[in-house]
Parts: sequence; C-alpha cells; structure tokens
Amino acid sequence: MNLNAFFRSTRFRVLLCVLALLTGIMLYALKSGAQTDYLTRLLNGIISPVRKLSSAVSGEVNEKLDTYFESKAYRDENARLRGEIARLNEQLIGYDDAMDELEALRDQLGIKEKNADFVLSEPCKVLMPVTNDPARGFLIDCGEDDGITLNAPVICSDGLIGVVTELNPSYATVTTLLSPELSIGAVLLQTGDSGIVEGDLRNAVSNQTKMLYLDKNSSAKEGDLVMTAGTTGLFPYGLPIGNVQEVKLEDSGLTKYAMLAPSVDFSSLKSVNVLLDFKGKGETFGEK
Amino acid sequence: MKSKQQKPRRKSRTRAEQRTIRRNFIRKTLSLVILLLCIFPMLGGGMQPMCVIPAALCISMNEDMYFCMAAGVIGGFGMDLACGTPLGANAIFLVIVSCAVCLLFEEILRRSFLHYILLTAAAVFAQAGLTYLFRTVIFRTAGREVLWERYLLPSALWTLAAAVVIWLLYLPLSRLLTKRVRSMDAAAIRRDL
Repeated sequence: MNLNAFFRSTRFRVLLCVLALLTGIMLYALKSGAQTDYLTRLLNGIISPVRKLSSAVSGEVNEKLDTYFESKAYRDENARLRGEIARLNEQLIGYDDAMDELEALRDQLGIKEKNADFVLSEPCKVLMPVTNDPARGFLIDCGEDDGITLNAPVICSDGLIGVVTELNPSYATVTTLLSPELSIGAVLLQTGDSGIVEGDLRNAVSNQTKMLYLDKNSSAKEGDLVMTAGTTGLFPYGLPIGNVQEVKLEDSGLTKYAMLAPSVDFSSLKSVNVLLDFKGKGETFGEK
Repeated sequence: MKSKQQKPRRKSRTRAEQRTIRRNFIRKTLSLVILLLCIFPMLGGGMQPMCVIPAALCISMNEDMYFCMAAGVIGGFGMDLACGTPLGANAIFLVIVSCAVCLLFEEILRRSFLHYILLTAAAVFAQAGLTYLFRTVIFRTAGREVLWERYLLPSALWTLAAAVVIWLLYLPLSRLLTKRVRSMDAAAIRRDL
C-alpha cells in the first residue's frame, strides 16, 4: 500500500480539512456547554419530529419485545404483587389511623403553606429517556421559550426529580437525582441531620441514591424522610427526595451514609413541573 | 489576424457511461437513505444499537473516499444528536474510521463479510470504549462499570447483530448497482489479445 502517495493526494488534504472543520464544530459545541450551540439547535429542530416518531416506534417495539422476553419476570412480579395485595388488605384496618397520622405530619410541617411561594411552569410532557444513560435522564417538551432556565429544579407531586441541565428553545434535558453529576444539600426530617445526596451509576440501576456525610452519631433509621435543605439557593427547603432504606458507616469510619429510595418513580413519569421561582432562590445560607 | 480559438467541445457521453453515472447516483442515494434509516432508531432513547457504524462501514467498502467522508459526517452528527455528545465528537470518529476502511478495502482487503464484520466489531468497540473513557473514566465516576455492562456492551452487541442485517440490506444494492470492473477488465484483456 503506497501511503506516501495517499498523504500527498488531494483526498488526504480534503480529509484534513473535514477533520479540522469537525474539530472546530466540536470545540464550539463544547464551549457553548449546556446552552446548546446554534448548529445543534438547528439540527435538533430539524430532527425533532423524527425524534418523536422514533421514540414512539421504539417504545412500541420495546413493549412488544418486553412481553416476550420478560414474561417470567412478569409472572414472578404478579405473584409478588398478589402477596403484597394480601398484606395491604390486612393493613387496611390501620389505614384510617395512618391517614390521621399523615395529616398531622403534614400540618406539622406546613408544607402546603411553604409551597405557596412556588412559581411553577406549565406541566411539561416527558418526551423520551436520554440514550444510554443509567441515571434515567430524560427530555421534556418545555424549553427556553417557556421561561425555563438552566439548573431549575424539576419536581412532581411526589417530590424532587432533578434539575434542567441542557436548554433548547423548545425542549430541555433533565438530569435526575440518581446521576453522579448532581449533588443536593439534604436534611433528615426526623433527626434533623444534614448531608449531601449524590447519585452513583451502580445505585442508579437499582433505583437508589445515596446520602453522604451523615454524622457518625446520627440516629437515622430505615423509613426516615430525606428532603432538600434549601441552603444553597438552588432548591427550596422541604422538597421530598426519598426515604432511608439503610444506614451504614463509611469505610473511613468518620461518617455514615444512607441508601435512599427516591420518592419519585422515574420509570412512570409522564408529566413534570419545572420550578421557575421560589422564596430564597439564589440565596445561600449565610446570605439570608 | 488570429483566428478565434474555439473551446474543445465536450465529448458526449456514451450510453454505457450514462448508465454507469445513473447507477452510481441511484446507489449513492440509496446508501444515504439506508444511513439515514439507521439514525432513526438511535433517536428513540434508552439503550439503542449504534446502527450508523456498520452502515457507514458498508458504504466505505464500496464508495470513493469523498462519499465516505460525507457519510461519516452525516452518520456522526446523527450519533451526536442521539447520544447528547458535543456535536462533531462522533463525527470525527466516524469520518476517520470510514476513510481508513475505505483505504483498507481499496488497497489491501478483499470485500468479504468476514472482513466487514471484523472491522465493524473493531469500530463499534472502539466507539464504546471512547464513550466510556470520555464519559466516566476521566471523571473517575463511581460505579462506571454499570455504564459499560448495562448500556455500552449490550449496545455494541446489538450493533453487531444489526450489522448482519445492514450487510444483507446493502449487499444487493452494491451488487446490482456497481459496475463490475473485474469482469469488464477481463473482457478488455480478451479483446486486446
């Protein structure tokens, strides 16, 4: 093979020019960061209808394949759910008491009153999950044109979902709290212990996240509610994040960590709200 | 007085040449259609095979280098848009791979399924490896093996399975619409003799 001839040929020069152009485009896209560059916006605008169609087709095909390949899992799940129903029927007897307790807790917390300051976007439809993302990031059909800003919290009635990490005029990408890219100041409702909620790809697969840097003497226990601390100005105080599943001592022995089951079921999300404004937005703890 | 020099008139194309041009045009158009069809499932989200890579390699086996570059750019941009990577990152990868494969088939390798699948496997795993490296390894992301085990590796294996289908789609296209150089050369040699 005569490589010298190739390196001297016009083809090689054209190849170098194409690569230089692509490198330039990539650097420009990287520089634009989360505020997507114009070329990406243009291309995304063109493929947006195709994306929706592809997502619909893909969902339909996956559903069909799922029925065949996961039939054993469904059978097991069915059996498990039957057991669960039986157990829940037994628990129904104490349902009224639990409801009263829940109401009392709600009143105590005054969550409703505190949420009066929330400015929410219109309900945003979940378009599709991000390709090859174990942390279950997804795209929503609201964007810059709907008044959404970067890093705005995304919530639903069950609690915090994540934040907006990429913006386009007509849609946005949401990074969930399962992602290692997100760190959230959090506090335990029952004990008042504070820590940082940070995702981990390994845990994301089993729909779990982690609360780090809990005090070594923390009395956190299974079932405790974890919510946003509201100290950074990025999230309001009191948004439910999840419930403690187990508490363990870190390998270093200096702090504890808690495994959390998120309050939100990411697999069944159809519609979400973006929190546009709230009392204390942008104010860090010391500034108040 | 100088006589006005007339431009040499362009020689009209023979019927065989016209047919070749027409065939090339149809083949290239259909190749691009296959490539664009391969981008379609990738835009669906979730774990998806990167069908664009085998499609681009199929094109590189049969087309000239300029067309390979164009296919690499289009396919690469499609991958970038689907995977949320910075625009151009996968395009650079695919252009380099397409041109390298084009050179290999021009100079060294014979067009066969074995060569195609081996090169596809190399390209697919290289792409998965680079994604793994640039998304997690350099950031030392905890639990990064999950990305590899549950997404990139299955995606790469599905891509290899899809590569067989793409080959079967592309094979009749290249056979029917490619000028059979070898047989024509043989005919020319026979005529000269």
